[in-house]
Amino acid sequence: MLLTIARKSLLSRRTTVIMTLASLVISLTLLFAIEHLREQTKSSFHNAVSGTDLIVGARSGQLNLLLYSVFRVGNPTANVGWDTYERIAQHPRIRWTVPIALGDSHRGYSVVGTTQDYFTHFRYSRDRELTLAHGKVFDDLYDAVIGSEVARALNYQLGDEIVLAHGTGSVSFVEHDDKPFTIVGILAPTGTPVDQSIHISLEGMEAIHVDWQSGAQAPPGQRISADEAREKDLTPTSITAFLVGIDSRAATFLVQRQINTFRDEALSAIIPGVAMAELWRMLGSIENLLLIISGLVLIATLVGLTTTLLASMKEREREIAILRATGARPWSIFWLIQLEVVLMVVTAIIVSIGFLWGTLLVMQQFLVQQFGILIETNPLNANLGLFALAALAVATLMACIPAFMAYRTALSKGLTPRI
Amino acid sequence: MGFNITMQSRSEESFVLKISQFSFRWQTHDPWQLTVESLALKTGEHLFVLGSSGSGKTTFLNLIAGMMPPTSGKIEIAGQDLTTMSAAARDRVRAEHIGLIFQQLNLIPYLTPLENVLLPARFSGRLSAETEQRALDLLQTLGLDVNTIQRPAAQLSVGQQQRVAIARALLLKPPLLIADEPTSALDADNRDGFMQLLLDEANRYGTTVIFVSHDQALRSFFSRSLDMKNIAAGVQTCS
Repeated sequence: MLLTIARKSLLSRRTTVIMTLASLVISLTLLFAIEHLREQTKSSFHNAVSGTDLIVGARSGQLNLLLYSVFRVGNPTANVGWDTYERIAQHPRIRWTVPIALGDSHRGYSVVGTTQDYFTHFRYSRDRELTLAHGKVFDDLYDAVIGSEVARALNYQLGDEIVLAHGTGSVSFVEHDDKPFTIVGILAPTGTPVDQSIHISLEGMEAIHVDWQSGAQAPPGQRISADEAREKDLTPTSITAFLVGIDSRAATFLVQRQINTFRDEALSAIIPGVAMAELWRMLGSIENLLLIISGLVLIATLVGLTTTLLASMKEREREIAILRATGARPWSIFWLIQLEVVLMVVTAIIVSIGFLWGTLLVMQQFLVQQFGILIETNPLNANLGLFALAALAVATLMACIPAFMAYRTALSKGLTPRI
Repeated sequence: MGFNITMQSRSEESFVLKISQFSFRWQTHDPWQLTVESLALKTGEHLFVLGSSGSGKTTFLNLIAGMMPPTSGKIEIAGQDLTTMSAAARDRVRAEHIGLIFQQLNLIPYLTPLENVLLPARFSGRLSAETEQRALDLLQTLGLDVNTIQRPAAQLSVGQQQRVAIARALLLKPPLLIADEPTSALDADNRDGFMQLLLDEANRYGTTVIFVSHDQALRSFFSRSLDMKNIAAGVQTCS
């Protein structure tokens, strides 16, 4: 009964209500978006790598090394020499190593030069192995295994030929179009940067650069064809980083120190979990700050809503008198105002969730390519529900002011308030 | 000695409104006060209350309608004593026994005339298909066609709005209808038409009308009248 009146009352004040709704939607979307992204980045970060005891790269800060080796964000400061890699791999406590060579891309997706060991030793989430959805692991020099997101976004199938580009931008001017790769495997989705990667063998990586001299393609006369490259020695001279598995947890720190003090080359060995925690501490506090700010924005919006309602109370005295005269109790008037607020806030919550969902659908591709973060587009989760309820509760609490004022008006002004 | 109209009926129950030893002041030592020693209205009997603006007639109506309690004395509506009731109980009595029509702007502008008419039924929990049909019939009798009653009330002319107000006041067949200057926004022709409609409809349901106006000319429609001058500010004379 009151619902019909509340709804029609709001509709009759369309302009004010729409503006109020707009500001509510903006602040709620902000709040929901930040909470959703926080949740998503957190799980995305924490699931990106598992089961790897150390990541080794050229000497740099641990965050930088973590970011470029695992998340394909940023650039390595230098490479690791192949002979250094081979020497460290001999260490008695080291169980396995997986080399990684980065630097090329295909339509914005990173190309990872590695060995077949990658598919046996790499773990993500909680000790989950990479599995192939289709096809097999690369075998031939020009074979490629692509991540699920690459396959989905670019609509690639087994047997498709792809041309890799030099450099990591999504638009590259130099392509290795003389040595195309064939897709032989597509990985199952992992929700990690692996989904956005193209894996080829280290030799394949070497082959496409075999006729390159000091960072540029050789002049036409001196080029080496794809088949000629097969005859060359394709042992790499350097790699970007390598993942290390150690036979016992306790030995990790020992090996880490030995690598960090390696004499012949300046190296950094990081423990992924420790680096991840540091990264999260940094991002987490920023996100908490954003969350607080968006909470305050929401409160400011709700104060605005209350002000609007209070301002309209004077002109609604007549309306209240009529409702009273037709038998409405003062409490009915109180609930009428509350109901209007609840209607507005609930509408705003629904609209902002829809709005956020739509925005995420549009932004997903961009986030994946720019930051290597795969976000879930469905923002509905328990936390969001909690935030929505909290927003509703605060709104109801603040609406008590105009609602109580209406109640007082209903009680004291009688049947014919002075106009 | 206060104003005194007592009808000859023996049965207490047949009185729609009964006021006795009634007085009201805004503040304890306010020289201005309303006093009615005794006033009783039988079912179907109409009363004209004459008063200019500022004469306290609105206060008087608020008191009768149970919006506020009198300083002393007793007000009974259909045999129920308002002065001993809680505010909530008075609200209930008002919703069930009293229909109200104001000077103007009687309707909630964003509701349709039909929704406006149904408000008392909604608030007293008596909304039914039957009440709705009754509302439609009332509106039709009062000359409002189907198209008119589906538009927001704000789009209606003043005359139409006042007729919708009659329909609303009579929807629940209340024993008492209080009208506060309902004709002041109408021209002479519309005014007489309105008066006729109001009284005809009230007579049909046996509803007692208390009609307040500053307009002497309307006194002729009523069998009984009361001048605010006689009950307000201590000026107490019999009419």
